[in-house]
Amino acid sequence: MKTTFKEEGKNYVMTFEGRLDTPSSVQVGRDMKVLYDCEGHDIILDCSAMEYITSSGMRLFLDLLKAAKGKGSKISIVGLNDDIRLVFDEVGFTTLFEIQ
Amino acid sequence: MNASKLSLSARLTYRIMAVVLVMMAIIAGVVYVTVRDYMHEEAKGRYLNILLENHQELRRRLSNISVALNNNVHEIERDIDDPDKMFEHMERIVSENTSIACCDILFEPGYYPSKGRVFIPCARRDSADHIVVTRIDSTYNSFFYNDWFREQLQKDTCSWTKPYFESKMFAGNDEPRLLTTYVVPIHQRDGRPVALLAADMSLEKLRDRLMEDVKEINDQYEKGHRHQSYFVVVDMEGTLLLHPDKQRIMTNYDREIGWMMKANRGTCVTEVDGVRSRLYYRNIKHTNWVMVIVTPEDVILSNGLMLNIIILTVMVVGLVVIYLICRHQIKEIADPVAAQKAAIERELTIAHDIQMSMLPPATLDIPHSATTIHAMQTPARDVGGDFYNFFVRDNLLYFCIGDVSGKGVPAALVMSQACSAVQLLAEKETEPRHIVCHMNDMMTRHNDMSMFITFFMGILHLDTGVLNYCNAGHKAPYIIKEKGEVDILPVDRNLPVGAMPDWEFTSQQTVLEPGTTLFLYTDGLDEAENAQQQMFGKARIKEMLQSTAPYANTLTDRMAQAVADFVAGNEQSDDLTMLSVRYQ
Repeated sequence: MKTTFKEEGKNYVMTFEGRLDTPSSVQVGRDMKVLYDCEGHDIILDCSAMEYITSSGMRLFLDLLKAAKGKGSKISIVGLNDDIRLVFDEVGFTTLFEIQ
Repeated sequence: MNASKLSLSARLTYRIMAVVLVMMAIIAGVVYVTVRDYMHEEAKGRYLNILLENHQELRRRLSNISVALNNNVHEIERDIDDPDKMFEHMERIVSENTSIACCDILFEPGYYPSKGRVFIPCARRDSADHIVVTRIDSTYNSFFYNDWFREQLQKDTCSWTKPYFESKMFAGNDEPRLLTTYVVPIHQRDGRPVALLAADMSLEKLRDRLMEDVKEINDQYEKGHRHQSYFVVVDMEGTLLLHPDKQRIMTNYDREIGWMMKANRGTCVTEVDGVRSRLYYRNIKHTNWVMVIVTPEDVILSNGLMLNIIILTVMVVGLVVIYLICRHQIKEIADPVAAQKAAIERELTIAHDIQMSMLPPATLDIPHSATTIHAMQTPARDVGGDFYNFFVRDNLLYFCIGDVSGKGVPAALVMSQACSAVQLLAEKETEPRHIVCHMNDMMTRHNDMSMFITFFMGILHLDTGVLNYCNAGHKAPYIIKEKGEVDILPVDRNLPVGAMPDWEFTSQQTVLEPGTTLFLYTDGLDEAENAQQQMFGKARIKEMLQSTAPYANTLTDRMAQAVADFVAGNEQSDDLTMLSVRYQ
C-alpha cells in the first residue's frame, strides 16, 4: 500500500492506494503517525484508490480517531468504494467517522 | 526442523559451493588455455632462437666462402694461360679461409692440352690441419663431367650444390664428411666460361652445433620423454640434408615439407615418422635449404600439463578449504536461526492447543431439549482472533461469536482476554446488552493498540423460543426457517466491543419458531479467497443455506466443505468460524 501526505489549508490529507491488509498495516501505521500531530487541523482520509481494507487497517483508523478526538480534530473519510462502505457500515464505523 | 529436507545451513552451503565451483571451473578453463598458449609461445621462442643463431653462423660461413672465391676469380683469370700457377692459387685460397675445406678448379676436359684430358688443381685441408696440394686427374668422380658440369658452365652463374658425402678417397681413414660446394665460373680472355672454381664446405660443424643445441634442450626440458626434439635440414624438394641419424641423409624426407615451410621462418604441425610433431623452421637465405627442429607435441604440452595440474590441485585444495570454512561459518549463523524458528513453531503449536481448549467442544448436548448447536473453527495461522462460546444455564442457551481485529499472536492475546471476560460476565448476567457493555468497559481499559472485537451475543429461552441478542458490529446472522426460507436477522448498528468507551449498546428481541436455525459466522467465510482472488461471498453462503438440510451440524459441515472446494488449496488468509443453532 502506498500513502501520500499533504497539507491543504487547514486540513491534513492522507491518500491511500492499494490494499490495506495485515502485512501492510505495519508500515501504514508508521506513515499515519504524522497525522497525530493535528491540533488545529482536521483530517481527511482519501480512500478513493483503496482497493481493500481488513480489520487491521480499520484498527489504525480507530486509533487515529481516538487521538484526533482528544485534540478536537474531525476526521472525514472520502472516496470509499461500495464494498468497503458496506464493511464500514456493518462494523458501525459510519457513526464514528464522517463518511462522504 | 523437517528431517527429510536439508537443514538451512546445508542448503546455504551447497548453494554457495555451487557458485564457487562454477567460478573455479571457469578460472581453471581460462588458466588451462592461457598456460597452454604460453607454453607454445615459450617453446616457439626457444626453438626459433636456436635456429636463428645457427642460421647466422651458417650464413656467415657460406658468405665467407662465396666472397673468398669471388675475390680470387680475377687473379685466376689473369693467370688463365699458366696452368702451373693454379696450384698456388688453390693453396692460398684454402690457407686464407678456414671455412674452406677443399678448393679446386674444374677445367673443361682437354683445356690444357699439355696437361691431358682431366686437369683439376686442388688444395685440401686434412684432419691434421695441413694443406695438401694435389692434382686430380682421374675421372672417377664422373659427376664432374656429366650434365651438371656442362649446365653450370653454360649457366655461367655462382651457386651452391646439393650437399653430398665426400669420396672415400679423399676422406682416407676418416669418416666421409658431409660437404657442400660453391662453384664460380672462370672465363678465358674472350669471356667464355671454361672452368668452375669450386670450394667445399663441411657441414659437419653445423651438424655438430645443431646437435649440441638440441641436446641442451633435450636435457633441460624434455627429460624422461620417449620422443624428444631433434633437428633436420632439408631442401625444398624434401631431401634430407642433415639428420641425427647419418643413415637417413640424402634420403627422401617428406615431399610436403617444401610446401609447408614457405614462409621465411615459422612453425607448423604435422606427423613426422609416426609422431605428431611441431616443426620450427627457418629458411637459409640464398639457398633452398630449410633448418628444422622437430618437437613431438607431447613434449610441449607436457610441461604445460604439469603446470596445469599444479594449478588445478591448488584450486581443489582451495575449494575444500572454502567449503570447510563456509560450512562452519554458515552453521554458526544459520543453525541458531533454524533452531529459533523451530522453537517458535513449537510454542505456537502449544499456543494453538491452549486456544482450542478455551473454546467449548464443537457441540453441546442440551438436556430436556431438542435444540442443537454446532460450531467449527479453523484459524488462518497456528493462533487466531476468532472465538465462540455456548452453554446452558437456568434453561437459557447462552451463545456468542467474536472476531478480534487482525490475526495471529496479537489477535490471539486479545481473544483469550475476551473469552475469559465473556465466560465470567455471562455467568452473572441475563441481559445481552449488559454483558456487552461490561465487556466494552474491560476491553477499552488498557487498550493502547485500539484493538476491537466484532461480537454477537444471544440468549435463547429454550422453552419459549424468545431470543434476546446484542450485535456489536458483527455480521448479521442468517435465519433459516423450517421451510427453507433464508433471511437476515435484523440487527442494530452498534460499534464493536473495545472501540469506544461509554458506547450505548442496544439489545434486541425476537421469537424463534421451532425448526428455525440460526447461522452465525465470521468474515473468514464470506471473504475466503481462491487463487483468482475471487471471494466466496454472501451470495454463495445464502445459496448453500437454502440448499442444505437445516440441521446444525449439517449446515456447518457442508458450508466448510463448500469453502474448501472453492478455495481449492489457496492459502487461507483469515480465521474461519461458524456456529449453527437449531431451535426445536
